[in-house]
Amino acid sequence: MEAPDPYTVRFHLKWPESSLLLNLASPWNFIYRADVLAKDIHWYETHINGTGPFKFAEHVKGSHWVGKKNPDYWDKGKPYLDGYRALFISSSSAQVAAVRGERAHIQFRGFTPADRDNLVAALGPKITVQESPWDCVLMVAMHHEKKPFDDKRVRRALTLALDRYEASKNLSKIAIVKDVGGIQVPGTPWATPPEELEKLAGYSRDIAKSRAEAKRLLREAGVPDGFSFTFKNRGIPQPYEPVGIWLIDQWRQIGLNVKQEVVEASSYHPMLKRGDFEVAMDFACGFIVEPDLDLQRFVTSSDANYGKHKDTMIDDLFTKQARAIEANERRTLLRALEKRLLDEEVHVFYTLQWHRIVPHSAKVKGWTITPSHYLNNQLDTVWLTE
Amino acid sequence: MKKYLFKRFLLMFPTLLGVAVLIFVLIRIVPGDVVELRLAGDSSSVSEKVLAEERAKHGLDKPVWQQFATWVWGAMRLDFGKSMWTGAPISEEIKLRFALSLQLAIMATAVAVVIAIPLGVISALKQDTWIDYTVRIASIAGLATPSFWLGIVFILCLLIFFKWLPPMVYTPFWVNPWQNMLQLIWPALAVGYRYSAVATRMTRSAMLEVLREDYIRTARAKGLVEKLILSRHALKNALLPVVTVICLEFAFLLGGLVVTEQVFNLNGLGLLFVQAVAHRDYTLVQALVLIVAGFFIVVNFAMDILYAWLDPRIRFR
Repeated sequence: MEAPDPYTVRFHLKWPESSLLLNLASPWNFIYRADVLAKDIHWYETHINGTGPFKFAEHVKGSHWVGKKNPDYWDKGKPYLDGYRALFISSSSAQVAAVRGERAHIQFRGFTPADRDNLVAALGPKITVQESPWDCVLMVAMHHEKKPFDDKRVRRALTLALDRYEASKNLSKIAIVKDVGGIQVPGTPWATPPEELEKLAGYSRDIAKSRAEAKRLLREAGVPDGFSFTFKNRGIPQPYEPVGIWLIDQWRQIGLNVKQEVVEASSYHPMLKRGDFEVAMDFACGFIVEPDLDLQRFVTSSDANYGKHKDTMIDDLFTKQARAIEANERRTLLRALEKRLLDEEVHVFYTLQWHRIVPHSAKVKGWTITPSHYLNNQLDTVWLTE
Repeated sequence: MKKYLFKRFLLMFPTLLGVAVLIFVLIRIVPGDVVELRLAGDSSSVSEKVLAEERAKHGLDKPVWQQFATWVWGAMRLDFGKSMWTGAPISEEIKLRFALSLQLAIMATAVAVVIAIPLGVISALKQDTWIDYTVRIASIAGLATPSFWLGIVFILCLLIFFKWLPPMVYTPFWVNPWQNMLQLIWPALAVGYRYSAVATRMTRSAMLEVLREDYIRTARAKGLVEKLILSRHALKNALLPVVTVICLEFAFLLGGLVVTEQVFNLNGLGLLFVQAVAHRDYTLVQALVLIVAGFFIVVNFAMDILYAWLDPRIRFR
């Protein structure tokens, strides 16, 4: 890496990497002055140094923070707002009440379909609703070192039992999930076309046939009717709770008797890392839809390979797609990886794509929803009507 | 009397030490630790080396007895250290929230006392009349209604009928009393109603018991005015169990209003407590438990003094 002049940085890579520029644009990255960090590497933990549209004005712990317009902002004329106040509201019902009572104009993360409907019913034209597929997904991880989940026929039966299309219609009324997707968010450049998706295990429109196949596979693997196992779920209501209940119901329809164990949210990830589960809900949220970021977790050596599968073919396909230069070549490799991951080996499987719903005061203009709640929060283009 | 109070005062210290040992051990038994949750809690990947370095930074690599001794020594000097989650001094984390929670506890207690004692007395005096039945129904309804649910009803009514919501940011009373009251009166009413239900029933039953005592009959027989009999002889004696209930509830309110705080979005100690436990923020949980326990002990001590004033026999034991 070198910096030939004050405005240029040059990276020398050992191989072409498709995701380099997108990774550099991650909202988790920040640029601070080198001389400040050289003096104290922890300076950034308690200080703010940036070029954003707003300057830090106040922070009251557990209550709120305040930003004031940065008059020296590089994009002249922006931001339009003189300032903003960000409130910390942990309860979702209090968040809805805040928007409904006009104590807050907007909540950027998202509300449930029921909250959206209530706000629209109560406020009518005073509310604007923006929706988008969300770059977050719940997956099912199966521990490959625990019987009978070491058998791919059993894993395949679990995904074949799911009627994703019916769930999309019904669950989207009560939970923040909607689209049926593969390894990429539907509608994005690397997403699987619907007709190809339907060829993968568990994505067929003929659910009766899929479930008959699932039952046959379970019998063949020696799993008795009424076989019981524990499904661990994360103790967060949306969308974990409804999706968990849906999964249990779907598995019941192929003769499995599943007990759900809800694990406190803060203990959940350590539990996954320890591998202390038979079948568990896995989750991922990204700031941008990019195969390198989304699929790295399925590589054998990944810390997020909670099911502890070992698959050199997946590792190889992942590396090849990351280094592919041609879009078509990368697409072909991604489809091969997807088939291996979700169909042939069923190391994990996807439930439904999250769906982001942001109902906000109609006074808020200039803000557009994105597939990630980590993005487009700089508010430089936002303005308010009277 | 002085000996009695001194003895009670001395008992505070072993109690606090017991609480300190208990919370120090319990929080460490719960699975998961603050470092892992903070650095890798949301499925990010962090190496064991980084986790070990961070644990060492917080002194979690030292023997448990040494961690305990360091903490107790700090607590004795009222230095609770820094939050392991935010890195901010514990005193800073607690200060603002303590003021809000204490004010809410005082307001809810005031609401409860204003409702409970007159209603309890009237209900006892008018036993088995429509007044008594009405008070009993209202108090049973209060016992059966969680304060957070009543809070939700208040919020919905304010939104539906007045298209208005209480402020969501706490303003200290001395900065803007009006704003402060606009925010806190609703949770105080919601909590105070349930609290008053307990105290009303206690006042009623204590009054009924006292009114049947021989000394009340004697007072009436010697022709004492009814008002004096009630205020000087009946109520003062009936207040003993009521004071116990009111004081214990008051102490509980300081850190026990987690859901009500969430409903009204109050930045109080209850919510901080839950977050600290979820984050396994050892230092913050320990400090909060010690403060709440200390508050309980002080309230109990005040209650003992009040007992002695209400019942002179206690002073001479």
